[in-house]
Amino acid sequence: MIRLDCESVAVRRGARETLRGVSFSCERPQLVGVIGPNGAGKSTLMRAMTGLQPHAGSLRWQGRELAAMPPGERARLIAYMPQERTVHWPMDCIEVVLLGRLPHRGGFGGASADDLRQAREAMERMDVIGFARRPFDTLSGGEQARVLIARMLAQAPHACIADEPVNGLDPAHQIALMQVLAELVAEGRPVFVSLHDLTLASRWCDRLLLLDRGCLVADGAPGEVLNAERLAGVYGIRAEHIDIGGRPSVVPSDLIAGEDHVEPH
Amino acid sequence: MTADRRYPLLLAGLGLLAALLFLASLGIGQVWIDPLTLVAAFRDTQSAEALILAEIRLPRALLGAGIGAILGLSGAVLQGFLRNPLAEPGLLGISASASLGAVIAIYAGLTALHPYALPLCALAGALVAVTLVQMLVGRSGDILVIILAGVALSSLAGALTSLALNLAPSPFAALEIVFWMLGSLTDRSLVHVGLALPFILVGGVMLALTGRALDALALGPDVARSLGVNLDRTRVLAVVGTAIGVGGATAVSGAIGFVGLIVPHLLRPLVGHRPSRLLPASALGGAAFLLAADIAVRVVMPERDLKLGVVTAILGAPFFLWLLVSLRRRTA
Repeated sequence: MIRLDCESVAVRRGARETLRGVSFSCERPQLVGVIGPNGAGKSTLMRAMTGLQPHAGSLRWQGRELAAMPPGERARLIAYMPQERTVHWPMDCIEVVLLGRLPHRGGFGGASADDLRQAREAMERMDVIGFARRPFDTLSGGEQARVLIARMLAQAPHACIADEPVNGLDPAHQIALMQVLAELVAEGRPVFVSLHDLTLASRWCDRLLLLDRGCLVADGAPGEVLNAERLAGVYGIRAEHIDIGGRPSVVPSDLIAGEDHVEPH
Repeated sequence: MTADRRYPLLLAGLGLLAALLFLASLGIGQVWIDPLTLVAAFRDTQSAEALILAEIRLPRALLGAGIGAILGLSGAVLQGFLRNPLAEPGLLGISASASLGAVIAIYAGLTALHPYALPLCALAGALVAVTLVQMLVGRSGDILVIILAGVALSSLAGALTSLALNLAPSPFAALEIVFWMLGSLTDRSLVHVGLALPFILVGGVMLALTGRALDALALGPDVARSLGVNLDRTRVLAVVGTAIGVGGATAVSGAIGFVGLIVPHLLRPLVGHRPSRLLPASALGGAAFLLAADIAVRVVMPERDLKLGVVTAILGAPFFLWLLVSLRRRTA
């Protein structure tokens, strides 16, 4: 069982504080949605949890300070998928997925039969095995996203951190992805996923962390976090609360007039 | 056939090609030595052919193979590290700074004092350049800063080289500077080989150690780090390895352009675009390319001392243009 403890995590970029005193713990495998408006600090928090972002405060996985963990060990513990989905060379998709096996490989060895098997399994799970021998750049945006998620799964991590993985996916693949993430949780891995889609977040996540201007303003079950007051205060929106398959879900409906939350374009 | 199965065949093919060109490089020149005489010369070390081989041809072939290999390897590493298909060893300002070091040695008349003066000054130039690049880049490791620092250093070294030409004490000194800068393997001895090869080997080992990190970097720096890659270490290996290897090569041959740009490019599709696989392929390909070019300068105009750097640039510049056009077509 993997445990994560964040204590007063703060990140400062120049004069701006992008994260301020974020504290929470995750003691059991949960699908944790990280939500909040643009610029709330979601990506910064996810990078910090992966060990990519220098920060103040303490971030411990399994009781061990992340910053002090050797990079190779960290890579076998946590897999990360950023928002940007670039692969710089037009490699075949199987080669892209095999990159997830790098932390499990020795210095100069190539991919072993086991690496190949795990990569193929991950591709089957994400429904992209048919693209194995196709160059990555010939795929559509949504297909590329699924290949990169397969890359993350191939890393066989103990915890996953995915920054807006559903962006650009069609509804069927959005649901399929949330299902896969829920499966990972059922297998005993905590999964952290940032989302803009509040309906998906409330329908699938066990727990939501709501960020606003760098602060963690709410932490709890979707039904508690996404109440009308917070939706108005943080997002400046009204929403319908409906019930999908026994889970309370939120469907944003309209802007609250007079609130100046949306930045003018 | 997939890239996996093709890869060992490709390496074997490139290795064979380089070996054949190495042998051809021993045989071809003002005096043509046929294969049988070549074999005989190894037994009878007192013959005229044996003398030509040991004093002229062997150093030239060894330098051609070694310098070509380090240029190809360093080009492949820099393209992978900077994630830019237009990167090459010259980009970091290392070739230009090494040339400047050599030019200063010629200008100051140090070459007359000791045969090692010129290559050592060139090497010092390369190391000064890489130190400056590292200092400018600092801990940020920003790719754009690396490229801009390299461009600035290249311009500065070029300007100072022009200044040396401008103020050259005599037309002969100016001509010597110009000829050296053109890049050549003519009249190099085993002393030069002994000087360049250790640097080429050390630089080559450093560059070869970046393979895994370059693969991971295909997914961007954040994912590479999340896969356990140490980007600071990778940058030092790539940049300092290039300075030592290419600096050592430039010190004895002068600046030879475009090999580090063309060779990784031609071979990249053949290795399935994977950066780590490109490294050994580019080293072998670079050796073959430079050996072939060095044979060409002897065959095309045997009576004139055609400079190797001129030939690689004449082949390389049109290729570069074609590359730009085809890149634009792909992104359009």
